[in-house]
Amino acid sequence: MLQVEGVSRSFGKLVALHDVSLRVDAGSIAGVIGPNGAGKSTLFNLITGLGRPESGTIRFSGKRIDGRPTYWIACLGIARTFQNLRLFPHATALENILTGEHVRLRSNLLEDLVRTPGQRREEEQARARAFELLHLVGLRRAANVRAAALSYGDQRRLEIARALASRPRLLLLDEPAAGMNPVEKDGLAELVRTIHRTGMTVLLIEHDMRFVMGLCEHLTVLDYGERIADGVPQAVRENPRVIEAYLGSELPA
Amino acid sequence: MIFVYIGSTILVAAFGQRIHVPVARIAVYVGLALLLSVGPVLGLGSDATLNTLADAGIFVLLALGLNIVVGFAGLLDLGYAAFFAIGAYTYAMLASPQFGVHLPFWVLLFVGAALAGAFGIILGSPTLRLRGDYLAIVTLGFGEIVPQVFQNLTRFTGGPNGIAALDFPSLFGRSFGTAAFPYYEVTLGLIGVALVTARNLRSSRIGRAWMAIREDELAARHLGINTTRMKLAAFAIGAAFAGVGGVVYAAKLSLVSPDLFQFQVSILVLSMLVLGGMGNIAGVVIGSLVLTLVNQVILPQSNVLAQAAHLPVNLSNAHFFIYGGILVAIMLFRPEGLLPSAQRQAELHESVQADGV
Repeated sequence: MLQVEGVSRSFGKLVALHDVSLRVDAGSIAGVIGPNGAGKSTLFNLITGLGRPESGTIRFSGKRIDGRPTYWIACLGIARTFQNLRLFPHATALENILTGEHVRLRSNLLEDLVRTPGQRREEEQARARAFELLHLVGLRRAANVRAAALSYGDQRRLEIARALASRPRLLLLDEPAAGMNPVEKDGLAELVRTIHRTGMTVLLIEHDMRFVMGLCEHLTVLDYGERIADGVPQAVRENPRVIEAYLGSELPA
Repeated sequence: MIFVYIGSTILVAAFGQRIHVPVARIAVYVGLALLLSVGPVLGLGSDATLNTLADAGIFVLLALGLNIVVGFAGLLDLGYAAFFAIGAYTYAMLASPQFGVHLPFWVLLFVGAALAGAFGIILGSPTLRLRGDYLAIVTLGFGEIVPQVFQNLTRFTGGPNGIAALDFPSLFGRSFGTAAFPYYEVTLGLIGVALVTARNLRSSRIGRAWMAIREDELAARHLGINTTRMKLAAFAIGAAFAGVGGVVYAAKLSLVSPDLFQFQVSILVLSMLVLGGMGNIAGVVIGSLVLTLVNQVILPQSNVLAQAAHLPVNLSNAHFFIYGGILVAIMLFRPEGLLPSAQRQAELHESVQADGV
């Protein structure tokens, strides 16, 4: 479904990614792990069109997407969350999700302006779906609460719901468990599994080895912008280069 | 009569933001709309009063339009008067002896809106990459350029003298003439249309896209929102409101000249938004009414008031001082504007309580 081939990207003298390749198969949960500054977020940014790779290609469903505008890539069916939450803080949880449905709604300016019956029906359906998503992430009761007023964990879940609202084919989660306590992390892992069971392909970046080990079917390990390991979690965990990269910061538990 | 209908349905539509509007509230709006539209037919309000109200109404139109650009999409536009000018000059050139073209007012309302909207896109497109302060400076530049162009294109626009003796609009063969009443009713009807437009757009796909751009543009793009197109739409629609306002303004005044559309006008309209409560439709209406009242009623009367209070001062030259003082005072005591989106906050608390959280 997603093929990243030989992608490199540097910022001035800093090489953020060097010749990185990665494949995500339809229907899988894959993870990209690595220490801080390994280039994980840069990889996500290139996939969603924030900057273009200096070399290499990125394909989604066979289509070249590297260097394409972000909104265009989103329309193709890639949705993401952000490491540092990017909700619409002053909008309610419901409004956040409705905004996420943007690409699925067909109404144009004129229909919005005069509120045609078709537009009203579409809005009603959009609200119904938004409530389903709120229910999925356990925020049904917080529908009319401003996003900024939600707890940190709830904000993370809301952001996932907003990403799902566009009914993407690939969901990118950028450090979804960052800043969560162990209980919240377990809840989150369960949520990701639930989403995966609906047939969603998931690619996530994570820091916490324990979190990805139990969740992902396939792992890619980055260190200093290079891919140092790739495979099933068990094999990756025993890879000496991975152990070395993590040594001193965080031992693979 | 038609205005009664339009006025009332529209006011209800615009202010009844919740689906289940209490009957009492509807009654208030219908009553208000009836009073505003039918009152003058029955002789309520002098010609001078209606004249002031019609002018205020034109500014309400402008403020509602600017609110789409600044309040909804969050794009600070300091050159909004340019579109007002484009609408006014559209009427002046196409309904006057200037070129011997005499198109009807009702047609020119649409032409003015379309032309101003087109210029909204033209002037908006170079600014798309800019944000905040930078955007403000560039729009400020446009606001300066447009009246300059009208001033210097003497062959077409009459230069600094502008164009005079514009046609009076007419309806069913009856000319509007110089009485304020018909302009007042037209303005009221247009405000109704503007209110419905603003409200419908805000709570729809495009309105949410604007909100997303205002709140977090990068996140908006990641949701598949074509931010370029949505920003241009905001500029165009906002400009179209100003274009309509300009057509009415020119027709009512029967005169246009470049000095009517200087920077102060842009700032005045922006002050109306800030004062009333940016982004909130009702707040914007209140803000523009209050500022027009201050400008046209309170300031001209300030000397009379001072004398009545036995103050030994001459306030004739202190208008800007008083005006500024009022603005500063309001912003100090109500920085969020006279009528911020309190409705929504109240609604929010209600539903939270209703859900028992």
